[in-house]
Amino acid sequence: MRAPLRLMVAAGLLVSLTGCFTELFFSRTVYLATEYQILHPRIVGIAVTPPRIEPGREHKLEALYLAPVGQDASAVRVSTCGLGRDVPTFIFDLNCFQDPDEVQLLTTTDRFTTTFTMPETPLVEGCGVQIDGDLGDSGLRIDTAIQDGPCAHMLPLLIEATVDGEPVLAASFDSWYTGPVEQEEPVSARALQFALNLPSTGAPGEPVTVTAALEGDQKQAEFLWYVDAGELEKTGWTVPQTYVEDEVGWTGGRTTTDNIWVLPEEPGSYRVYVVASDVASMPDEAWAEAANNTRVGATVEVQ
Amino acid sequence: MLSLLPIAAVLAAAPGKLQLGLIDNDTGDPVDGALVELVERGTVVTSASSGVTGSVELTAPPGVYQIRVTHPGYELLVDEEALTSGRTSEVRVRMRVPASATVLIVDERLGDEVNKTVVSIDELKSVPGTFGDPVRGLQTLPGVARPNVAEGSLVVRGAEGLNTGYYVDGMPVPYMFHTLVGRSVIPAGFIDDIEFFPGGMPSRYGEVTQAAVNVRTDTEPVGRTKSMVGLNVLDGSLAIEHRLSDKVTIRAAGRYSWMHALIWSGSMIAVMRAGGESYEAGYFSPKYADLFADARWEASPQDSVSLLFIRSRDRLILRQGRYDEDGDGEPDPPDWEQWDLPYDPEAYIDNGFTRARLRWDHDGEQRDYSTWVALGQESQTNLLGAAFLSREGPYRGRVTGTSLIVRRDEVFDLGGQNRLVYGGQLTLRPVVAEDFQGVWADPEADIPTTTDDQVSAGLWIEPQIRTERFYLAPGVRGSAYVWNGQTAIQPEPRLSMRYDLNEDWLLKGAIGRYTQMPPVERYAQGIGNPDLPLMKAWQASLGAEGPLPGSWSMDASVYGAVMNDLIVRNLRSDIYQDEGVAYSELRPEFLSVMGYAYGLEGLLRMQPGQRRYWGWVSITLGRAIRVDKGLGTFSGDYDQPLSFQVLGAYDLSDKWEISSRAQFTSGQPHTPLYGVYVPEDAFYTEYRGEINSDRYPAYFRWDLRIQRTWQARRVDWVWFLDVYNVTWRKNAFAAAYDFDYSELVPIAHLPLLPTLGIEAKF
Repeated sequence: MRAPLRLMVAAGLLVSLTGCFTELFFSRTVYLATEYQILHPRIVGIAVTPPRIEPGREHKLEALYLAPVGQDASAVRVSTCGLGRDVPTFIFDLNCFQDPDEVQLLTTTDRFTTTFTMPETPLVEGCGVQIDGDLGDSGLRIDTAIQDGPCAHMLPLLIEATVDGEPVLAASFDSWYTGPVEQEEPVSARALQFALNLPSTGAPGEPVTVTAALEGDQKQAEFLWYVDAGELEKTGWTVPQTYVEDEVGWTGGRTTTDNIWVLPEEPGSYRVYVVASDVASMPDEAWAEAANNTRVGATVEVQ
Repeated sequence: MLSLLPIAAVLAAAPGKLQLGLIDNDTGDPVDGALVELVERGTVVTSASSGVTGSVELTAPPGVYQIRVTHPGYELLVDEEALTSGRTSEVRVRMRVPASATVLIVDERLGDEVNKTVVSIDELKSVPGTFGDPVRGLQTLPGVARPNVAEGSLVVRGAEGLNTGYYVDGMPVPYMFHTLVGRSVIPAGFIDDIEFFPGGMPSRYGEVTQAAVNVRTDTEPVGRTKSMVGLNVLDGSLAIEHRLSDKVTIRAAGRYSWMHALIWSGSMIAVMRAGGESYEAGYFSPKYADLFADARWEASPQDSVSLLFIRSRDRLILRQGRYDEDGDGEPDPPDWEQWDLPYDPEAYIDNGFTRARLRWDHDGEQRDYSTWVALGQESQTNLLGAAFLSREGPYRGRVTGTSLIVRRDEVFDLGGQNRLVYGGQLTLRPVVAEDFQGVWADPEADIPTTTDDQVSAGLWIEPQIRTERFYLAPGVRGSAYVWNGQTAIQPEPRLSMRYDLNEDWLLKGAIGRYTQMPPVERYAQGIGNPDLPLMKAWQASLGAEGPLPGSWSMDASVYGAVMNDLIVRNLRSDIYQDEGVAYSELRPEFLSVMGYAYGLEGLLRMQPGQRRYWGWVSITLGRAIRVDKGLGTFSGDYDQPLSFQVLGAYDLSDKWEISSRAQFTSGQPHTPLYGVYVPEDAFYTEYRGEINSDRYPAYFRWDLRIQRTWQARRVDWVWFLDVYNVTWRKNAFAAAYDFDYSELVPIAHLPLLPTLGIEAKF
């Protein structure tokens, strides 16, 4: 048995020995399904366009910031860490942000839509670039080819916003190529059509059907819902329900998912957002190499 | 309490005779001047006093009598005995010093150290929650922080665990407690008392910057042959002491834990009931053993020579099940057996030490001196490192060394009540530190090894001046250290003083400078920080003590310390390369920081006296602050602003005693984690906050202990039930965050833990 596994076993046995433990395993499912009301500031979506980060390129960064009305962010800071080595670097945690020597500030702004340019970094070659996958009928990805090319680091991208003096953080773990990549670039999810269909007004407590439609065959996508108030009968986490290939106005068809929003009792203006992740980038189904969420939002007047 | 041992009965004519032999329970000496009465229905039928041989003979008509033995220096003894017509009953009676003389905690007001507290063993063994281990009972005293459940250390007055030194009869030992269960390495049966210096140690103590714990086994004479057997669910022990002649005594004791065997057996049963094979069972348990032996020879009325031997082994075992995957009917050997690992991969903690000491003591008319030389090997392996249990020991590595210590203490009588204390000590310790982190990930990796020859030396002189009301001890110690290519010579001035306000109350104070060499596991390349300098500290305390109305007394002090180059542990991200790829890992780093500590500690005691109850209230209000250039100002790992303990014991009868302890302390500081949402994968990852900027919930624990003592034939029996955490409160020693890191959820705590044990002394 390898060392990390042994350590996990040790921890498990220790816990068993000491008798009592509670909630050792936390439910991601429950959280995503129930924590959909916008009660505190959160960054719930990140998109980098183009979604392949290469040295010297300018990328558009869009973060979806949700907060109760009036809680605006005063500063946004975007940075990465661990960049600059001449060997492939794989970092899957955020601890390196505590080492100032490892942090590279990409931009500071007061907005959640900004641009950054990947700093120059030593070219690392010979790793090969993993290109298009084949989803096949099963939906599982099968790697079809690896071509020579520059190596990519896997590094965190950290977005830090300050809201009423408190930090609000979000991150993504992205491929950071050390040189230009010749292979076809994946398409940003933000370039896909994404629409919400719902009535613009409703009565207090009225259940309204909200349908989200995303361009393409998105059978593996996840849809996370956020509302200011009220209840979502299908919870805050839904999966694709239908895919229509030939749909007028939708290149490559559209995938839909819906929910039933029981509107709040108090009259007012209420927001609903849907964030899609694990989006297959059209048209060639290349997998995203950087944060590639897309989102759509609307407002309902409760009268 | 009373041992009535019929040895023989001789047929004779009426009436019956009773022959008593009275001996001191501890020394075996005859007890002179005891009054023995035979009582029938409240009336004294006859009585007699014991002579210099301790013998008494009484004659009375046949019948059942109450025997009452009284002596001003011993406990009252009462028991029944039947006298038969024509027979003589020979009975040997062991007399014990009364509880009021074996005082619970005795401040040695006439001693030479102002801050010393001498703790008596009988009562400390009665502290609930310690499983009968007196050294562990020190955790109930003020100024001592509540350690994490698995950490075998005493953290005192806002310092770190490594700043407490442990000694056995004045000889330094590498560790005092076994992992997880917290048993001390010296069998309780041989511990006479424990000197505990929470600070302000006199000049003869060095190479440690905060506190000293000296377990003494040599303060009480070995009387006659005695044996002690202790059995409980954790371990078993056997101790024997014997006086070979008037001049030669020997003692030997051993202890072996069997908790692992019990757990393993339980695991086997569970596996077999589930249809598996017995060899598929695994277990996780401490496993330890101790050996103690000494021989003393009184070469002359003034001189004695002793040889002491101590051996201890302490392991934390994760024994994994074996499986028969190849179907040959035999369990397959584990993978690691083919890797030729330099350590036992199933021993996550593996510590041990051996000490042998030859000592010569001279008790002269004007000059006393003691000279000894000790030699021993020590080893610490910690594969867990900082990950789960312990902040002690090397981080996924091993340190080994051999210590040679030579020491000379002298006390010169200056006349009156004044004396001069001086001496010197030299320690040579070649050490090897091995970093197993590489091997941990890759069995064929190289093992970074650090070797060093540590040398430390100290010379001290301390005049102790007493007047009618004043005691003053201005001392100075010169310490020299050589380690890791560094050399340091440090002066350590110290001053202790005491002033008797009146017959009852006194003021006391101490101030001094202390230094300590970093342990090799903290500066070894790979597992430590090679740049760590010498630790240095200034300490000061001021207090008062005296009696209160009733049987109460009070001892309270304020204390403060400034600690330079204190070693603290931080976790930092380390980006390392392995076969051409860089990865990140969170690893401990050992920093040299400034430390401040200050506080108020108080002990309110109820003396045992003639009452059936005793106890104490211990309170500490204090802070332990650390300052680092990079990390800023933060709380120490054991910064516990409030610690409050109440201990009480009640003698239900001559045989039964019940005791209880309640403890409330501030939550231990920890470094919080914040949740950072990763939208692409819809999960939260962690972001470390400022070091020790948050606290676990406050700690509360209630322990109970009930014990019964009785005598049967030649054996003194003690049966006890020690119940740890009676309320089953979930004081977490491991916690995890919920999904979005908004709440810290306790995941592991020690539950209600009953321990049943029995001891026999004969």
